[in-house]
Amino acid sequence: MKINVKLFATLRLKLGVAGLEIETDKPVTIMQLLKLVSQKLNTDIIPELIEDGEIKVGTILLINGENIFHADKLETVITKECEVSVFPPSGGG
Amino acid sequence: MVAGAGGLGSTVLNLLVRLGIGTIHFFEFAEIDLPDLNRQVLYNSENIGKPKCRIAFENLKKINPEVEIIAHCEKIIEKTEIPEVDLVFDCLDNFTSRYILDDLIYPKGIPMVHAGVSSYFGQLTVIIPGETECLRKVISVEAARFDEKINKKIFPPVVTTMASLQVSEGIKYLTGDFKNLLYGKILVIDLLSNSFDVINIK
Repeated sequence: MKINVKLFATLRLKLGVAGLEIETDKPVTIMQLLKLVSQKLNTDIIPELIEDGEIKVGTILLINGENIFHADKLETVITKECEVSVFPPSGGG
Repeated sequence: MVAGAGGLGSTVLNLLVRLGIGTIHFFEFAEIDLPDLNRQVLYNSENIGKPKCRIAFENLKKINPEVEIIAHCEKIIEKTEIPEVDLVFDCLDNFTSRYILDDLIYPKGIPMVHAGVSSYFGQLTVIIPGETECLRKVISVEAARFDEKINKKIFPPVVTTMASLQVSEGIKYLTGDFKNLLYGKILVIDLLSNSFDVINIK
């Protein structure tokens, strides 16, 4: 299955890429997906998104628009083609 | 109602008053500081050290004396009595205050046009009770820890851009144009790479 990963804001700036496609033949957790993304980019993106085993403060991960914060967080399993958006919201005004 | 008359709020208020929106409440408690002037269009160098609330009120009345403007010179807290309004513009500058506002208005059925800005980036979504989840669920962050890490360096054009988009969405809501309204989705903009992305949310 294909997983379309889209990166926004500071992540896009740091990594120099707006998105990429990951192909996998079995279900993956979000954590496993991030490792696959790191491999494909040749850059470890985990420290950008995860701290002490948890999603970093100020990072939002959506699977087809659904926040993994309200599912199983990093253990949320992806079983079918989808779009994963990684989005650090802006807090100022 | 406009919550905050800083970067986002001063442009939102400016545009709403020029559009002749009948009655506008706004909340603001801070004083004008020199760095505010690069983006807070209601204030000028003669206003430094003065309360934003009073200066904003005076300038807005000069722009359009026919609009009824009610200035609330106070911070929005859990006990704040929110006036009966049709729509709220979230122009606050931290998520702790945003969630307090969300908790006050969502149960009352009052919709909110949310925006947040940082660096070259901004996001916007419209929260409608009964149609969308509340802001706390749509954009979930650990507010206290998040607010400590907010990047206060902001590219000024992103602020006025996001504020204009807030007014644009507000007009759509008030005129019933739900087809084109940004609810159930988040607009994320990046003025560095000129990207405007809409993410569908559940």
